[in-house]
Amino acid sequence: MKSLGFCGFIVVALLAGGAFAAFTNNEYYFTAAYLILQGLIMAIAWNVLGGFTGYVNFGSAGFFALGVYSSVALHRFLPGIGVEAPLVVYILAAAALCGLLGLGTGYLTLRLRGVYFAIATLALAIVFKTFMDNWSYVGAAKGASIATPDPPRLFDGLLSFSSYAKYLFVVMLLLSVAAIAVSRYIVHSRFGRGLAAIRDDELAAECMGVPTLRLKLISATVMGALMGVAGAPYPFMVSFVDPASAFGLETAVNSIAMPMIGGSAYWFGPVLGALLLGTAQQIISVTISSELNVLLVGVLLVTFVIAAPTGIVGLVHEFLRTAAPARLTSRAVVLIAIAGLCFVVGALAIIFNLQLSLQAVQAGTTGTALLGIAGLGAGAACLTGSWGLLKLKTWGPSLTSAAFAASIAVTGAYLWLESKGVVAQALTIAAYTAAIGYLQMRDVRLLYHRRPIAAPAPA
Amino acid sequence: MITDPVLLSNAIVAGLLLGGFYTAVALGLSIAFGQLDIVNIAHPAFIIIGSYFAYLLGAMHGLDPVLTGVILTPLFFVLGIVVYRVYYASFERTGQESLSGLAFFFGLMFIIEVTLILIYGVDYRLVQASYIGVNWKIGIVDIPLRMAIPFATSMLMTIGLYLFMSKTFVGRAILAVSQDRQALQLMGANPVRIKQIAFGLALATASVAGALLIIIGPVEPSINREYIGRAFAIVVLGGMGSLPGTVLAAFILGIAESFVNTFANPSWAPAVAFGALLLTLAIRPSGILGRHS
Amino acid sequence: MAHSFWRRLAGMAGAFTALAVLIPALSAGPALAQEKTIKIGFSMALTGPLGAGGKSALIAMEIWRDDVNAKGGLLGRKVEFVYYDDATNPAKVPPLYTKLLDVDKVDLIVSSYGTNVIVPAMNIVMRKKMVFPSLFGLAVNDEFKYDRYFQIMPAGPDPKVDWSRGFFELAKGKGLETVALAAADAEFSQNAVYGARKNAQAMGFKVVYDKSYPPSTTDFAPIVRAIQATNPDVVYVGSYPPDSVGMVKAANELQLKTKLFGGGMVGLQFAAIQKNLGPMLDNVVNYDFWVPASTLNFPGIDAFLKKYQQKAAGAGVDPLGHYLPPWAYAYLEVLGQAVEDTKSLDQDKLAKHMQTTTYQTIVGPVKFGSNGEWQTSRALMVQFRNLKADDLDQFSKAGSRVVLHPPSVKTGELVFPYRQ
Repeated sequence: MKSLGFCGFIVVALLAGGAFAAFTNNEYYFTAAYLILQGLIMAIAWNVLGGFTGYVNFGSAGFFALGVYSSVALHRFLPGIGVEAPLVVYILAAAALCGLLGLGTGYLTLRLRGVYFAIATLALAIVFKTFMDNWSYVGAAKGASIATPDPPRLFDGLLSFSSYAKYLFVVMLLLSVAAIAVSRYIVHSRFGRGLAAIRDDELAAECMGVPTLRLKLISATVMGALMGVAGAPYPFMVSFVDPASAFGLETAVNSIAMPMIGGSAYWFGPVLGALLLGTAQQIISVTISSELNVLLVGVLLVTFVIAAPTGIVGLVHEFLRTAAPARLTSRAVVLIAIAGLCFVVGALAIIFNLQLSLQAVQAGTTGTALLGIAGLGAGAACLTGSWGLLKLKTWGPSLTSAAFAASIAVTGAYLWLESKGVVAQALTIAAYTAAIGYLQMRDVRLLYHRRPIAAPAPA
Repeated sequence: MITDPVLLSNAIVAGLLLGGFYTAVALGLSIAFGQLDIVNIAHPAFIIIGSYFAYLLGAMHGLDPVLTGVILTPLFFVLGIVVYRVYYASFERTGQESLSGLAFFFGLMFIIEVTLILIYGVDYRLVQASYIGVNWKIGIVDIPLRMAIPFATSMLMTIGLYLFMSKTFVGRAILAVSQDRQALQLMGANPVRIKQIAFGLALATASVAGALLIIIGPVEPSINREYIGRAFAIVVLGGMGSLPGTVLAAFILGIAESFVNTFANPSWAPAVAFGALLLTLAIRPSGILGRHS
Repeated sequence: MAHSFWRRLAGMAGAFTALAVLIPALSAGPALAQEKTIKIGFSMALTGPLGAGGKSALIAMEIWRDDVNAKGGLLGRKVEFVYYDDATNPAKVPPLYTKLLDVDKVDLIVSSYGTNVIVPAMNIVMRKKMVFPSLFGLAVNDEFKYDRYFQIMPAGPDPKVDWSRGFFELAKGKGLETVALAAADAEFSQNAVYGARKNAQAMGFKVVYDKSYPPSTTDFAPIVRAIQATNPDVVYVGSYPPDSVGMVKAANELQLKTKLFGGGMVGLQFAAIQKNLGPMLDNVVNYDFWVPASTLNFPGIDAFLKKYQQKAAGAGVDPLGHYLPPWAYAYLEVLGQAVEDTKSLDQDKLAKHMQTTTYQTIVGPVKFGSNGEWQTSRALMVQFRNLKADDLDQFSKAGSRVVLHPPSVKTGELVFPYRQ
C-alpha cells in the first residue's frame, strides 16, 4: 500500500514538472527551480550519512564541487579527443568519481568518533579546494568559463526544448525523483535499519552483529555519488566556475539545514526542507536581499534545532501519533493543514515585514515601520501558534486563532493603505476566518484539553 | 635555499610568532571543544565580534586594541554563560548534543556574521596602533611588533589560563568535568555550573583573540570562515583536553605555514596544514598530547 | 460527516488558494511599477567579497539616475532601476538576469561588478541579443567574443596584458632586469599576474620568483622574505585588499629592498586602506583608473564626486569614491547617451552606436574597440608620494598619487628606487 502511494507521488511529481515545463518558456522559473532541485538532491545526499547514519558531514561543498569540476575537466577533455558527450555521461562520471571519493573519505575517517568525522570532512574540503586552486587545466583560481550549449533534440526531434535552462530543469527533475526513490528505498530496507541502529547507538549495534564499518562505507559512497550528481550539471547552468564559489560554505550549510528543518530521520524530511527553504531563498533573493538568505538559514537552524529537532515531518508524525493513533481522521488532517497554513503565513509575514520595516526605518516613515513591526509580531505569533498546535499544547488553538486574527487585521490594514492585489488579500482573509472558525469547534477543543494518551515519544 | 641561515631562522621565528597568534584563536575552542565536547563552530565568529569591538573603541576613543580586548573579557564571559545556558537547556540536558549542537552553533555563526554585515557593512576594518609597522631587528632575525605583541599577549593569556586550570579549584573542576562528570558530582561540585564557567572563559578568550586579529590584518565579517578549519585542526592535532597540546599544535601549524610560504609554493599551505590534520586523525586520533578518548 | 467534510474542503481550498496567489503576488512586485518609465535592470554585488565596491557603485548609479531624471529623463521618460543583490555569487546571476529579462521585462540591462558575476550573465545576454555595458570585469569577452559587450574599465584592447604594461615599461625605462611575481589565488589577481608574466617575458625581463599564495594567508613576512631572497629589481604583486595591506605592511617591516614595487594591488585605491597605511605606501607604484590630477580633471567629475561623498557619508562605503563610483556613473552615461542619440531603445541601433561613437563622460573620452574593451588603454600607473599618517584629506587632493603612465596624462616622473 505504501509503495503504491509512493509511486503515485512520483507520478504526480513528474507530471507536475512536465506540465510546468510544457506550459511556460520562462527561463527564470527554470533556473530558479534548478537551484531548488539542486538543493534537494544535496539535502537528500547529506541525509543518507547525516540523518540516517548519524555522521555529520561538514564538507558537503567538497563533494559538490568535485562533481562540478569533474564536469569542467571532462568538458575540456572530451572535445579534445573529438567526443561530444551528452549530459548523462557527465552525470555518471561525476557520480562514479564522487562515490569513490565518498568511499575513500569514509575509509579514512569513519573509524573516528562522530565529531572527529565532521572535522575531517571539513579538512578534506579545504584540501580539495587547494588542489582545485592549483590545477590550471580547470582554470585554477582564475575560474573556468563554459559556453551554454544548445538545447538538445532527443528521439529524432520528438522531444525538443525551448531553452537549455528548460532541459536542465527536466534533467534535474528526473535526478531528484531518482534521489528521492533511492532515499526512500534505503529507509525501508534492511540496510536502512542497520544505519538507524548505528545512529542510535553504534556500540550496541556493533555488539548485535551489525557490520557497522561496511554499512557506514556504503552510506558514505551513496552520499558522495549523489552529491556529485547534484554538482555535475552545475557548470552548464552557471557558465562560470571558480573554486571560491564552488566550495562555498553556503552549500554546506544548506545541505545540513534542509534535512534538519524537514526532519532528518525521514526520507521525506530533506525533500520538504529543501522545497521550503529553497523556495524561500529564491523568493528572498529577488524581493529583499541576498544577505537575508544567510540570516534566514541561520535563524531557521537555531529555532528548529531548539524547538523542533525532529523537523517538520517529525512534528507531524508525533502529532498524528497522539491525535490520530488508529487511522487518519479528517480532524487531524485539517489541523495539520491549519498548522501548515499558519507556518507559511508566519514565515511569509516575517520575511515581508522585515523588508518593510528595514525600508521604512531607512526612509524614516514611522507609520509604515510600526505596521511592519506589528506584522513581524503577527508572524512570530503565527509560527509559535503552529508549533503549539502540532505539539498539542493547550494554548495551541487559542494562540493560533489570535495569530490569525492579528493577520486578518494586518492584511486588512494593507488593503486599506494600498489597494494592491485585492483578490489575493480577500482570499487570505477568508482562509484565516475559516481556520479560526474550525479551531473553535468542540471537536478540536476536546483534543487539546485532554492529556495525551500515548507516552511521549522517545528522543 | 633552506640552508640559508637568514631565511631559516626567520622562517622559524615568523612561524613561532604566527603560532602564538593561532594559539589565541584556538584557546577558546580548546576549552569548549577539547574539554567540554561542545562543537562551537561559531567561535571564530565571536572572535570577529571581538575584532569589531576593538575597531569601534579604537576609532571612537583611540583605545589600544589589546586594551580593548582585555577590558571586554567580562562582557564576553557573561555572553558565554548565556550561550551555554541555552545550549544546555536545549541539548545537553536531553542528550542530543551531537547533530543538534552542531546545527545550533552553525546557525549562530551565520546569525552573527549577517548581523555584523547588516550593521557595519562588508568594508574591511583596520586599526591604528603605535607599534604597527615597527620592526625589531635582533641579529639576523626580524621581529615585527605587529606579530610580536599578539604573540606576547596570547602567551600571557595562555599561561594565565593554564595556571588557573591547574591551581584553582574551579580550574581543576573544569579539567575534572571533562574527564568524569559523575565523579565530579560526587565530589560536591555542580557540573553544570562548572561547564558554564568554562564556556564563559572560552568566549572570554575570543575577545582578546579578536583584538589581536585586527592588529595583524584587516577584518570583515566573513573572514571567520577562514579560521574555523584552522582552529579545529589545532585543537584536534594537539589533543583534545590538553592546553599544552593546543599550544604545541598551534606552533606546529604556524611553522609549517611559514616554511611552506618561505621555501615552497605558498599555494599549498592550506593543504599542508589540513593534510597534517587528516594524517593525525588517521594514525593517532587522540592527537599529539591527548589522552585516549 | 457532511458538515466536517465541507469544513475540511473550505479550509483546504482557502489554504491552497492563499498560497497560490500569495507567492506570485509577492514576486510580481517590481513588475507592477508605473508604465512609461524606462527600466534599466541589473544585478549588483551588494554583499559578499565585492560587496563594498558594489555598494559604492550602486550609489553612483543612483546619482546618474537622479541626474538624468532631473533633466527630464531619457527620451522624455523617467528612468527606473530594477536590481537585485547577487552576493558576488555566480550561481545567483542566471536566475536574476533571466528574471530581469523574462519576468520584469526591463528595457536595458547593465552588468554587475566583477568578473565572476559578469560571466554567468553573458550567455543569457547573448541569447537575447542585448547591449551589455559592463563594469570592471577582466577580459570577460575573450571567451565569448560578443559584439555587444562594452567594458567601461579602461584597461585597453588586450586587458590582461595592458593592465600591467605601463608598470613594466617604467621598469624597462630604468634598465631593470629581474622580476618577482606574487599573486593571490583568486580570479582577478591570477589574471593580472598572467598579464604581468607575458609583459615581463615580452620585454626581456628575467622572472626570478613566480608563486601564488592563498587569500587566507595571515602573515606575509615569509613570502616577502622569500621574494627578497631572489634579489629582484622589480616586484609585481596581484592582490586583494586584505593581502595588499599584508604585503605592504610586511614589505615595510622587513625593509624590502627592490627598485620598483607594486603593480596590481587592489585595495590601495580604497580610502580606509589608504588612510591606515599612510606613509607605508610611499613610492609604491600601483594601478589606478582615476585620481585627482590636473590631467584628469574632466568636466563633471568634481560635481559627481561631491554628490557621491555626500551620500557616502554614513553609508558604510568608501568615503572618497575615486575608484569604482566614477566608472559606475560612466557606464550608464554611455548607455544613456546612446539612447538619446539614437532616439530609441532598439538593441541593434544602440549596439551600432556604441561600437562606433566616442563618448564624452565624467571620466573623459570613451571609445570602445572591436572586442568591447577600450580602443586605447588608459590604465594608470600612479606612485604614492610624501604621505602623512592617518590623514584622509591628502588623498582627495592632487599630488598624493602622481600619474606616471600613460604619457598622455602624466603628471610627474618616477621617484626611483622604491628602496635601496
